Amino acid sequence: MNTNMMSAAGYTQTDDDQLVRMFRKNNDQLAFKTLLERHQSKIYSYIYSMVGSGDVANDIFQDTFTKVITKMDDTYNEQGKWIAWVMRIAHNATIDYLRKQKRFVDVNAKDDPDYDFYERIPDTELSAQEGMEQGESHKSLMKHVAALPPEQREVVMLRHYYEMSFKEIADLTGVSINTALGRMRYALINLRKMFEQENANEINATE
Amino acid sequence: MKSTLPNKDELTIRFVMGEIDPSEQVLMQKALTEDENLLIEVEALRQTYARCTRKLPDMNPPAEVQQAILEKVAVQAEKAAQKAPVRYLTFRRLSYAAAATVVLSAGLGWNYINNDSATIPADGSVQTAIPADIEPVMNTPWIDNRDILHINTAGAGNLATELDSVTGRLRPVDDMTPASRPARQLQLTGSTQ
Repeated sequence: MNTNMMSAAGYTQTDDDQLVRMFRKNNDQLAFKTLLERHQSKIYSYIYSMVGSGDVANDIFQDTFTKVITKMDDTYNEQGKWIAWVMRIAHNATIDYLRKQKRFVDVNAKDDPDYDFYERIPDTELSAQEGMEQGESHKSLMKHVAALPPEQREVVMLRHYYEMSFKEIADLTGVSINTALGRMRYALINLRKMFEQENANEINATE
Repeated sequence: MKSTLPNKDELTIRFVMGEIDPSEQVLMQKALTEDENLLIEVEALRQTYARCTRKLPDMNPPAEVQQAILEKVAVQAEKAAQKAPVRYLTFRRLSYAAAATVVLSAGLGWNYINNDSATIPADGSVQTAIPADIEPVMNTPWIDNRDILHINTAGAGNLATELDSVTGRLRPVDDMTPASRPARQLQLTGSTQ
């Protein structure tokens, strides 16, 4: 395939492996841009859901891709999926940050008062009313997710955003599959309790 | 009736997350028909997960972050593009040098073998290049094909006198040996041929 002649549509139809090869061998910047645009949402959402701060998420996201750009020749061997390699970098950077902070922060953390997470949620196909309801719904969910113990939140987010199997989650987080499964189970049990409490509060408020 | 599933909690979450073996699936489905509490737990977990994943938002990074990354990509690509020709030229130069070395070595080796093969037989003994029609005389100075002047001074004669008599007999000749260069050379020889 002649990469010089490829149209923009051609790039979007090209698979990750081929785009990675085009960037590595031909320094094809459009190939990398296609990869970035294809995967940035899940990676950014994962990072944000874990750290709960826009500025921090921006820094970690940028650091992640700086590593991806500069280390690709040295550390990515094309044996596994490129996106799994990127996700691992993003996950490790996120966990490093959280360990340094020695705390897992809430999505509405006070140290980032100017940043409104819910204004960033796309609502292009929703009416104003639907958008408000959707925003409230996201808001309450993210509050609950942020209230989960970090190990449980991590499993939920890796499963949702990265669509990882429990074996992959176990490998990434350094625990057994059963431990990863157990964390997911407890996360769902805890979320259910929070939803029930929220419903009870709403009922009490209306009475 | 309560089920007697082994590892019930683990099987339950694997069932809800769709990561269960076919054989375990059969066990689980059988248990669900027998244990109402298990059925309620499975449905509760399933609904909670669906509610959670349905509402988790997908967000894109701010445009300036994406732009900053793409600028780094451009810088990295430029660096890589500058490196590539250097690597290529270095490799090409090395190839040329290696090829030249091989040709030169082969040429010198061939020349050496041709020069020596005329005078050194297979048994390794040194043979002097005395023309067949000249019978070496022990007391007569002579020059071999390595341009070594041989003078037998075993006798009681004066060395200086003998040298004068030898050099007085030397005269220039053309070297027509095959291994020599095409240019004419001046050599001194004691041969009369």
